[in-house]
Amino acid sequence: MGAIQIQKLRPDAGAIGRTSVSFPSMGTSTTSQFIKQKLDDLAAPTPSFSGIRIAAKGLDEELYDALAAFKIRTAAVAMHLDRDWRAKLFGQLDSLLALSDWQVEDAAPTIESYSTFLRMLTLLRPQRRPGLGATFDGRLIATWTVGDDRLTIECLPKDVVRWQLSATIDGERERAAGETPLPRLAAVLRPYDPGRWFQNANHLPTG
Amino acid sequence: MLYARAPITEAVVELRFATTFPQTKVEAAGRRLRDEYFYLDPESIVQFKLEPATKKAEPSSSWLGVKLSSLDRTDSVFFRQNTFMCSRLAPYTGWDVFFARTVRAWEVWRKSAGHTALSRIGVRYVNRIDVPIENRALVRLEDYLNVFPKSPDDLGGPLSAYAMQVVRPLDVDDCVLALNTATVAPPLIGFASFALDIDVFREANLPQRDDDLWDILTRMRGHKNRIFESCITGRARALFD
Amino acid sequence: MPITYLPAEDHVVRYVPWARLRKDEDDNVIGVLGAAFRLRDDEDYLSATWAEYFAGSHADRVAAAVRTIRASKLNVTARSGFATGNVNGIKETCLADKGRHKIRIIHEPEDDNKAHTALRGWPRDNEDLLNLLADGVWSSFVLNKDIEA
Repeated sequence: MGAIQIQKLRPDAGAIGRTSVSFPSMGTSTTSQFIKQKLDDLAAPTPSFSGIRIAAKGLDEELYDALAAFKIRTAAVAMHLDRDWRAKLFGQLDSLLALSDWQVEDAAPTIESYSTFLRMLTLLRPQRRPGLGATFDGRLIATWTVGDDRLTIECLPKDVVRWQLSATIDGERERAAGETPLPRLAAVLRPYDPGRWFQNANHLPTG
Repeated sequence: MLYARAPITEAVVELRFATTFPQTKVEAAGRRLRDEYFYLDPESIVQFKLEPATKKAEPSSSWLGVKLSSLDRTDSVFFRQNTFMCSRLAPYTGWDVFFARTVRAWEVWRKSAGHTALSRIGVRYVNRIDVPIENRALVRLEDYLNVFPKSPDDLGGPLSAYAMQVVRPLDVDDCVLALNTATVAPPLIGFASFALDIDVFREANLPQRDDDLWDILTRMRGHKNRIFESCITGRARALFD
Repeated sequence: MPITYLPAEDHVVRYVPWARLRKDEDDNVIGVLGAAFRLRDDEDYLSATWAEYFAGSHADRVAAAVRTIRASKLNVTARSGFATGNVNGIKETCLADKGRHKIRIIHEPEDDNKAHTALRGWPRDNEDLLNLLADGVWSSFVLNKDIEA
């Protein structure tokens, strides 16, 4: 029987979508070298997914490369995203990473942060896109704001998010904050009725 | 068969040249197609050389070709000195659109480079099957795929990963199949993911005329479709609709 | 040289880059993110500009502070903003936090900004407090594009 054991590991951003290859112990024979080459070929990304600048020459190249990497990474899950939603998200990324409005002292958002951000979106599946921001040290910030109700999620590497919220619940203002692995995020947000942020009023069915 | 959420992560048409073209012709092709794509990036191949004196690996790069990409980076054309490649990432928008772009880019290449003898033509579709885990600890491969490795049950516990390549002549159109299938690190939380990478290629009796090239590529796409459908189960199909 | 603490009723103006403005999904600016008030690793204090250093109405003072910041070494970009907070409100909010942060807001003029103010004792690693400030006493903002040269 071809049963696969589910792995509960948090993947490195660079490994997501890539073939899992376990390289064997080293060998020196022509056969073992041939096998290693075959495994290299299996593990290598296609040209569309490869291409990393060794060292960006300046901020413009850093932002350019970051934006390209984010869009290519998004393509890996694009079949699970509404096309219009994705296109508008890309417009927001173009805007956030525009050289003309980027602080020269800030690091570009990392692919590790973007990976967490993207996995968060595919997990929570919000109808409403978040507003986008970024910290000076390379982390994306996703925000949802409805009136005075605010949800702010900072995307750390390796599927960890730092979240804060303030909301009116049963007439009382509540604030909460935490640092949570992504698989738990929906559960920690549930008591605060996250639909207040994620549902798009325009998409609610009539009648 | 058209799927609402086709599992295609990348569609590729690759044409390899029998000769190497000069950088000037490759760059000229890139400039000709520039207006039809948002980005034009040079491509380099990077090599690392260990310097004994410093004991550091020093990178050096050499020019490989040019890559043109759409604003959202899903449509790309690669012009290289010995390869032409047209690629589409997800979301896949259908063969007709993809093929039309391939034809157009090849037309531009031919205007810049002239007659181009080919050594290999390939139609490659990389699919990723994303299986929701729910509360399961195991996923049965045979529930979703008809091609996967077989090993004795008494070797030990269940598989944790696999990578497999199958190469077979198709006995039609001088085509050969290179099929790669493997576990991949899932991009979605709560899912297990498997790659089904189908490359139909031909290295013999290569077409000399563009009309013949388009005809054979279209047939190769048909072979690819047949192979894909035979490699997946109904339960996998339900994931794509 | 005597230390000049800003009066409780006065205001400080902090530059907020585009990336640290709170926006909706259509890039409309609707506030300030707590991240706008984070200290960088090499900073000992949070920088701001004293609005009441300048004359005029509150709006005039904020505008003057903006123009001063623009003229300073700071790289002010087109779509950035400026957050205005009351001195007492900031200090009280920080003190009420479980960290009981005692903030000193001191006029420390610099060559390129005579109204420069240092907020000393500023907390590190207290994102909840910074978000509270951004949502509360330091939430008032103006956009760079709305202040004339």
